[in-house]
Formats: sequence, structure tokens, C-alpha cells
Amino acid sequence: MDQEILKELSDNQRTLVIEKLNHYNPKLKIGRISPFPGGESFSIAQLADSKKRFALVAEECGKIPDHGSLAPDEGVVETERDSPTLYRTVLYLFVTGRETGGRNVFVTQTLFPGLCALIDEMKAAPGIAFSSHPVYFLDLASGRIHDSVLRMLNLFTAMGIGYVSVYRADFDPAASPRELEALLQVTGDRRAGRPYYSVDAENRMLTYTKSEFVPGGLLAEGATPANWLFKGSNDKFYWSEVLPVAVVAAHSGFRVDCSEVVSYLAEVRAASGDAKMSIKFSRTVALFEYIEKISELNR
Amino acid sequence: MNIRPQQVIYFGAPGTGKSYLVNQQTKGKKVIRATIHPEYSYSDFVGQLLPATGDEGSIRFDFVPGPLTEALKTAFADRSTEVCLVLEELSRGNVAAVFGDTFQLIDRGEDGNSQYSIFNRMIAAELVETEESLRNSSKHEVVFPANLSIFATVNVNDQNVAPMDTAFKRRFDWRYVESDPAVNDNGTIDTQLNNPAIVIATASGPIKTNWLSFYSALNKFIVDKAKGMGRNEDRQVGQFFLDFPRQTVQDTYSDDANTRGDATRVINDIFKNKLLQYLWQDVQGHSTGFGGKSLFDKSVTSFGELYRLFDSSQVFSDDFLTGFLIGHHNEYTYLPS
Repeated sequence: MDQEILKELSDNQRTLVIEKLNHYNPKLKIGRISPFPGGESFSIAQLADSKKRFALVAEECGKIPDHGSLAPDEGVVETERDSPTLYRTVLYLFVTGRETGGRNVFVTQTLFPGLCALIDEMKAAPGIAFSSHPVYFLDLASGRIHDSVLRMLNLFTAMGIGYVSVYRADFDPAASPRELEALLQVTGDRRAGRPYYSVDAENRMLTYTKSEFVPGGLLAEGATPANWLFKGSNDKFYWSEVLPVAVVAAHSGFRVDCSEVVSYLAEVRAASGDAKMSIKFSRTVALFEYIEKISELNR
Repeated sequence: MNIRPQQVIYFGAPGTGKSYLVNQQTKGKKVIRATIHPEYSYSDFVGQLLPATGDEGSIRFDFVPGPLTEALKTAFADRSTEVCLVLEELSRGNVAAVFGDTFQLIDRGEDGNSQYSIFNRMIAAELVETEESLRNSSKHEVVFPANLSIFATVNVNDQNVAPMDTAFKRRFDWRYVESDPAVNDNGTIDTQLNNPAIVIATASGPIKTNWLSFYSALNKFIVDKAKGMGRNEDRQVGQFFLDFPRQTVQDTYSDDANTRGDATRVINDIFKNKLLQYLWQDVQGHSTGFGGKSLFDKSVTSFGELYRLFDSSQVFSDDFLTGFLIGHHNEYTYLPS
């Protein structure tokens, strides 16, 4: 875990976190929480660019090999008792703050942009898994879960992210819908007026549209191809709306068509000339490369 | 983009390079390998409970994963990496019994994962929780993930211990590996590869040929229905049925008579000890009873005679020698680089 998260937790709270995670998945057998060891270890945490909210569960894999460099999900841990030992990631955790904060940003700011980095690692992988390891959302907040947060939790648990809460019991991920149509019935209200995609239930088709990629819509006022910027935190909200439905659609037997958005992103890049694109543009591209992979299914 | 896993069975005559092709296909990927044999069982393949000593000498039973479960563990441990389960000599086992309930998992869906899951507490206990298991109601459900590919080799002329059923066969892509000599990257036949000079005794004196020319003539004779044995292609041999040491191959073409003589004796011993028995038992067998021509000369009436006479006398029939080998005995002449 990152030091920032660790500072927020007392010893008792750390023990509780371990208990909850082990209870949710007894195979984990987590024994302790440690800060990231630094150096080249677990470079995926740097890639995820959200270290404050990122943690991982790693298992001991013996002594460090003499040759080769560490994979992004590997790390070397040295304790007072043990000589340097190789650890390999078992699962990724996105850890919330202790407060619910700005409600609907509670989930999106915890998961993004880290989730984009994990997805980007899977571009060349077989299948449509969105991460090389399971991903859990570790909820450290207390108090009632606001409806807008529940909506987001439904979206992300539907796509296969585990949910573990340390203090709250008012969201049951097992009860959240797993089929696209049922999911959209639960989450549909907020989608009204945000035509990021359309769903043709009769023909079982999910189609992404580019219509909101306009200044004043998703983009900042005055945005141009060379100065392509999301407005405020629209990037995280947009990613949260478009990513889970793609995964759930694929598992619900829907065809996915993202060609309009993929073409749009390619046009923006071409029209920008040599301008260095924003990191949010790159992450949007990475996310749609993954959705495009999903769209290869059922062709 | 490679979304779906590969499930491929390479089949062909012995020595055609099926295992080599599998190695080429799986190079750089994580490979878990098993060699199937007639006694190979489900518990060998999936895993079994074995006794272990616990604290203070108590006995407990631990599940020891087999290659399938190990492959699943490896694949689920990192979904970004392709894991290959390689099953050599698949036809030598009873595949229905070896795969058991996991047979159901071979059926892949559009997303590359198994289309149907199975309930298997033992395997599930070995796997980390997955996004798929989060979707399923039971924690004991198992699927093959999309990053698990399966490659197998099959010798079509093996006398199977049990037939491979159609339901199993149709879930794999079958790729026939021809017995023709291997080609270079530029598409020409590599006449240096595993191609020593060979001396075959005939009534009119020894013929100097080479392995590629000899086995190619032999394969034509085996399948030719009019002038040969009229047998199936599965009785043919591949280029690597005999694996000759590289230096010895070169030495059979040496300008130095001693070096050449020593190497030729080594090659002839390999030929005699590894090929003749296959030809006598599996290729010749009782084939002449159905009107086909004999590979061996009429004077050879037992394997012992064949083995003893090979170096000094004509053991192959005139039908083979004059009809197929002579005239083609230098078709694939070794060309020094």
C-alpha cells in the first residue's frame, strides 16, 4: 500500500482491513500490510499513476533470480527478518478515502486513472479480461452509501470488480445486476441526456456515439484537436459510463460497435498535427482500444 | 488481434516434426507439458489427494495439482500472458477418461473463456478468485480462461488404447503435418538438415543414397496402390523419424575416407536399429495378404534375418528398389554450404 493510505489507518484499522479482505476471499490469506518497497518494485503502481489510491496483494515467490528485471507486477521486499525476497502480485486494490467526499466522484476518483493503466496492459492479451489480476474496490468509508455511489458500484461490480467494505453493509455486490438490460434499468436514470452510447435491445447491439465530444459537452470550451481537453473531471465520469457497459454487454451476448468513437479519436490525432496530446486523450484512446477488442467478438 | 485461445492437435506420421511445430508455436509463452500414455489418468492430469505429514507427525491429505490445474493456476495468475498446455502423444491415452469433467471446458465461447463452467471444488480451491467467479453464484465453478491454449500431438498410426470420440475431436483444430522434407525460410528444401549419406546393399552392389531421398521413395512405395504396398499414409515416416547427430551427418560426406567410413557405420547402425523394426512390424506386417507389394526381399523371412543381412545383402524388394528408389536415390542431394 502507499504510505498515504497507510497514514490514514490505525493499527486496529489495518487489522480490520486484513480481516475483511480475508473474509471476502479466504484464499488470499493476507498476513500484513506494508508500504510499497520503492525502487523498481511494483512499477505497475507508477504506471497506474494513482499511487495514493492503489494497493496490491502479493505473494512470496522465493529468492530473487540473478538475471532479468522485475515485471511491473513484481517486487522485491526486504524485512528485518528476511533477506530480499521476490513477491508477485495476486490482485490489485483500489482503496477509497475514509470520507465519502464528493459522492459521485467517490468511486470514479478512486478507480481512475489507475484502471486505464491496467486495461492498457491487456491490449495484446488473449481474451477480454480487463486486468492481468483480479481487481477489488476496497471501501474504507463509513456511513450511508449515497445513491449516486451505489449506482457507480453497481456498474463496476457488474463488470467484475470485487467490492469489499470495511465499515458498511448497505451494498451487496452479489445482488447487483449482471446482464446489460437489467444493469441499465438500475443505472439508467443518470444516463438520460448523456448519449454516450445507444442500446438496441432487439438486435442486441451497443453502439458508442461521439456526439458529446464537443466543446461545452464533454470537452472544455474552446477545445481544438491540438488542445483537446476534457471539461473538469468529465474524463473520469465519461470513462465510468462507457467502460462497464462494454464489458457487461460482451458477457450478455451483445455486439459492441465503437467505430464512430475510434474514428473520431483517430481524426483528432491526425488533425492535431504534431501537438502533444494530453494524457487524458491517451487514456481515452487506450480505453477504446480495449473496447474495440471487445467489439471483435461476435463479428 | 488474438482474442481467442488456440486448441490445436497436430497429427501426422511419426517423425514429421509435430512436437517441433508445437515448440515453435509456444516459443516465448508459458508452457506446461504432459506426455500422455496408456496408464495416464484423470488424477494424473487434474490432480489427486496425496498423504503428507502434518504437525507432530499427523497424516493429512493434500491436493497435489496435475498439469491441467497447474496450467489453470498459471493462466489465472496473470491474464495478460498466454499459457500453453502441451499434451504430447495424446492418442496413446484414453482422452475421455483423462479429461473427465474438464472435457466440458474445452468448448470456448466468443470471449475465449469456456462456454460452460463445471463444478469442481478441488480445482477451484487452487485458483485465485476471478472476475468470472465473481459473476457466478458458486465459488466452486471452474472455467478455462481465454489465455489458456492447448496444443497436442497425435501419431495417427498409434494403436490407441481407446478411440478418440467425435465430440472431443471437433473441439480442436486439426493440422496435418506432412511427411515432406522440411523447407528453409526461402521455401527451398534444406538438404543439409538431418540428411546423411546412406548405403543400401543390393544384389548388383551397394547404392549410395541419402536419408531424404530414401524415406521419400519409401513413403511413395508405402502408399502406391498399383506398384507399391497400397497402405495408408499413417504408415509413412517423417524426416525426423530418425534423428541423426549433426556432425556425423556432415562426416558421411567427408573427403577423408576414414572419417566417412566411421560416420557411415554410425548412420547405418541408427538406420538398422531404429527404422527396420518399424518397417518390419508396423509397415510390412501382413500387408501382402491384401495384394500389395512387399517392401522386403522374398529371401528375408524373419526380423532376425533382416537385421543380420542388412549391412551385406539385399534386404529390400526389387519392387521397391527398381520401381521407387533407383533413379530417385539422389533426389535430395546434400549440398554443402
